[in-house]
Amino acid sequence: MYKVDSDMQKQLSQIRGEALKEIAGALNTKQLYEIQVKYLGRSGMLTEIMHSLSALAAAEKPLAGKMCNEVKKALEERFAAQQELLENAEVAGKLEEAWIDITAPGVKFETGHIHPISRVQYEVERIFEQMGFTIADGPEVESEYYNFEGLNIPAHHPARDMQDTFFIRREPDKKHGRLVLRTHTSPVQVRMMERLGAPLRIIVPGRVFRNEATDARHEHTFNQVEGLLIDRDISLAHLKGVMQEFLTRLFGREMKVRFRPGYFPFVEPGLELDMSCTLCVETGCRVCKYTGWIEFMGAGMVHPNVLRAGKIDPKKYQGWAFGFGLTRLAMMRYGINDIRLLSSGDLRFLEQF
Amino acid sequence: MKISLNWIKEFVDIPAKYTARRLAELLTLRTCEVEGFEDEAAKFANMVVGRAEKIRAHPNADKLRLVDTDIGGRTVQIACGGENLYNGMLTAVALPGAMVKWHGENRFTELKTARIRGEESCGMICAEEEIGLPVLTPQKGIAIADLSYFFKSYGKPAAKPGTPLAAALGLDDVIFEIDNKSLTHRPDLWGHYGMAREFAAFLGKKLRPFVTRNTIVKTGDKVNVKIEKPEICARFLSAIITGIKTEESPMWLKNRLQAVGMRPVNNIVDATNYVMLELGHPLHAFDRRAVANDTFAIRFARKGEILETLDHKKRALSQEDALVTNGEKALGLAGVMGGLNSEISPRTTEIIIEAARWNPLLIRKTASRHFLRSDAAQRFEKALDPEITGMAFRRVCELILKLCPSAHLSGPVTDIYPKRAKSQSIPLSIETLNRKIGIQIKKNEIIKHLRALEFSVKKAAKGALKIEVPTHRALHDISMEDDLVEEVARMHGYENIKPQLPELPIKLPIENIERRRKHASREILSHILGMNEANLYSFYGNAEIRKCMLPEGAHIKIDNPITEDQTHLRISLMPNLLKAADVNIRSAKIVKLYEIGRTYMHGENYFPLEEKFIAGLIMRPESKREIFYDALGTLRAFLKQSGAPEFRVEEIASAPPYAHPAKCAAIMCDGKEIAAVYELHPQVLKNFDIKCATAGFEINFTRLAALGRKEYAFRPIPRFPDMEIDVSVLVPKKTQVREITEIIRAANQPHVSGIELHDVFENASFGANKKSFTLRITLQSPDRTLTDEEMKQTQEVIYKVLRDSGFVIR
Repeated sequence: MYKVDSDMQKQLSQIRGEALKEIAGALNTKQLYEIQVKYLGRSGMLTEIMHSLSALAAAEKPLAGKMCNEVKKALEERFAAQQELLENAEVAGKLEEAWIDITAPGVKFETGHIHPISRVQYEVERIFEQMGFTIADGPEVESEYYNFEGLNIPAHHPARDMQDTFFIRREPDKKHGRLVLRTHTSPVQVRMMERLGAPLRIIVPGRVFRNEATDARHEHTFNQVEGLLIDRDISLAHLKGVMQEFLTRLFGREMKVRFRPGYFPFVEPGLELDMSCTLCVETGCRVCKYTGWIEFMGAGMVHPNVLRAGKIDPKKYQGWAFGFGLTRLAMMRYGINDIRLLSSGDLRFLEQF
Repeated sequence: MKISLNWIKEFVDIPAKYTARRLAELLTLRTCEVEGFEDEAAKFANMVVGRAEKIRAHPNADKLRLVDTDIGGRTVQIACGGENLYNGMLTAVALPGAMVKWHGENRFTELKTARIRGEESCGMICAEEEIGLPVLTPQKGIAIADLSYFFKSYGKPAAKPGTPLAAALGLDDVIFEIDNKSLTHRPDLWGHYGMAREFAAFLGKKLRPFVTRNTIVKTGDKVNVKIEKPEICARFLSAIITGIKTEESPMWLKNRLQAVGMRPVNNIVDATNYVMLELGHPLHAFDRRAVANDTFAIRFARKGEILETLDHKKRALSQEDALVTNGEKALGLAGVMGGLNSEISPRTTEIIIEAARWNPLLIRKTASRHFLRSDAAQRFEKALDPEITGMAFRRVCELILKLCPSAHLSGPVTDIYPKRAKSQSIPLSIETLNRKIGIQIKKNEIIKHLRALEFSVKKAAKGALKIEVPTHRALHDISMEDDLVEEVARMHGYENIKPQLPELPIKLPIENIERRRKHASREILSHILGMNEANLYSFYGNAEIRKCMLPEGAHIKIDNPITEDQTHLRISLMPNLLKAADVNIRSAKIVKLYEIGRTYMHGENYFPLEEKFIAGLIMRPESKREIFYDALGTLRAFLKQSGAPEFRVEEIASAPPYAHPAKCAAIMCDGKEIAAVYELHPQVLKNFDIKCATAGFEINFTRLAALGRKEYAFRPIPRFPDMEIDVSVLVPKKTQVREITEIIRAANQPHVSGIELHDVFENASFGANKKSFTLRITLQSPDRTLTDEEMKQTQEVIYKVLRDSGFVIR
């Protein structure tokens, strides 16, 4: 057995003792790192000793190496442990200092706004599409034929008074009569019957025009939604069902509808459809004039003359049609009190949606 | 139109349990739209007639007395300060709960039982002003309403104590305001008798028959009636009444008329109006002297003929206006308005009554031609029942004879009635009816509903009925089975129809791609690109056309505009956007507006060409960069986001007149121009008084949507790093960057994967009319990392081609 240089042993033990003391005394990771370099770095004290092992006699090397490694391992363990301790302390310290003003607004992003009518239109289209309705479209400059005659409103019919019409300056056509700005979306009924035949399930959102003076409640330009369902056994009970579902989905709460007689030449029976007041929930308030109901739309069973105009046999098919004001719906939805704001293009209005 | 419930009650009993509100609701649910109602009696709720039984001094107050008052069945003690109190006096007693107005106050407050100076007072003996009545009692000192005096002076029987005050004073009417539009198809409802028929039907009550008593005069003066063209008039009744004394109508008649908003004139005119409001059929009374020859010749107006109507207007007549004449001079515009020359005056002693059923179409045309929507015209244009013409004639004669006891018919009645109105018979299938309504209504119920409306019902084959339509519903109203379905449905009660969803097979709706892309476009423009959607008008006027330098003749014109900014249909969305921008620039720093809408152009066919456009407008008053690039960048991002196929920015073939001619480009896609982008023409901005540079774009959405979409296709993510070379090249100022990139591209270097304009820079040192482009060129290989050597080689080649093209590398 050979004895390893006792100096070296002493030296190792001293280094170990000092290093452990220093590690324990390190106040932060930076100090700890410096201590680590001092002992275990490329030219650290322990590293130096380990380098010097090569000078030892072959017989002494294993034992000396073993001793060195033991010290190195012990130091490394302590370094790691102390490192974790100090890091934890540092995180805790940072957490304690940290503060942010959550009332400051954050980074500003410039986003735009979709018009309230488009928003409501999208919702309406989506709900009806889910019920299998096709979204149809028709011209805004329409013929007298489609706007009136085809809808069972012959010339000089008193019902023409109900809709003041914008006429286009143009020679009339033999079949079609004069050109008008459509006064309702109903002309698309006959157009779609002609094009698609029965059965038919469509809605037609679109812009319509009435030749009247504007004020907070009246506009010469507004949007309507026409609906049409034709099949073999479609009844008024189905109109109630579909509209109740539609309104319930749209307003996100149980809605009721009621029918009462109304007159439109293109339907028979003709109805007015009221919906339960969205404000007072049927108990009566100023908005619903203390009736619990709000006038919502005109509707009825499609008049046989209209079916015939659309080349559909009224003996085989029947169904209903309705038309409601999308503009009015948007106003109700968002509580807009002046219809003119909708076409104003005023950003102070548009930016609210 | 106004309907008086008291008037209705003359024809049908209304059970007391129905409140005014409930009746209004029922009328709305079964018949027509009630816009509102006024319940007179509601103001006098909790007020009764009382009788002063015993008047005692108040122990604690000098000016008050205690009155034991009989209020019907019981006697209560009320403190009262009225100085005109006497034993047995009938008084207006407000009981607790009544709304009264204290002396000198304006608001009504609810009355409560109180102790007044230590004595109980169960109500209040009221003065007229305290309960909103006009003052009738002689005012001496502190006076309370003396109902005994009131009844005496009106010749009314005294009401019993306890009678509700409203009933005792005849102030218990309910006035319903009906929406005329909901009566468009129902001429029978333009009078109280027709309305009463509806009340009777939905309340399950009997309608009293309309009975008139007339004495028939067989000999004497008779009106001679000639009708030139039978289509003018289906029936004409006339008679002479002599012994007339024109005077003010009696109170009851005036009250009736005033209650429904008609101004009383004199007894004769009031009588014709009364009958019109009762039966819905207008009548006319002529001064016999004005007619002169007891002759009516009904004819169309002659060319150039002029008539001065009752409203003192001289009207130039059309040959389509029907006239009532005496064969020599025109006396009135038939069915629309009488002539001034034959007006009833205080000197009138003899009259001729006209009851005519005019051709509704003629009346409608005449009324609209002369802007004369008189009460008469509104009714005549609705196809009245000629049977009612007879009823109205008999009724007005009866009424005039009653109002003028000295009056009498001077001779036989003339009645021209060539074709008697006939009731029509319509078959009704019970199965069809229930299939359309969607519930099962039993046959006997159907019969009950129809009979209540005076239809006569006969049973036909199994499951079918034969319905005879009464004449008052037969014209332009009930003519087919569906009309009967409505009658049954409304009388059965629409509220009895249970909501039900149709059992239809699942069927995918036809996809509306354009509409879907329209909504997607809004999401992109608003929520990604920060623009705001507007919704502007489809028309503008000469001012906008001039300001935008648009050709006026290209526009489709409105024939009957109300205002001068709606004379032309738009051929571009830009003018109204500019108008809106003008509104906004005052309040907003940056304006970014767009609209999706249609333009309207003359087409090849009868129908105009309607194309959908997306137009945008951008203003950044404080920005120094070319506003054109704001619009171009927005447009590029939009097209990319919306999946447009490959597109290229090109010189525009023809710039819109409002675009800056030098700062304008077209977006070409598949050989078609799908969009234009431009700075607005400086002159146009000046015309709109816009002081900052403004850019716009217009996308032909119809074309874009038709192009289809670019499909997304995955490309592998590069595995090896890319390298960038920046090349700065000096070019003449008006060089397009595309010219340079094309040269580089043409060099066809294998690793070039991208060329991008990094910077444009001008500096005096470059010399006049020079600028520098810095292009960033990306090199990339899919299968290895490129070497510095390869990068250098590529750079050399690029330098060379640029130099060869005559450019200087900086």
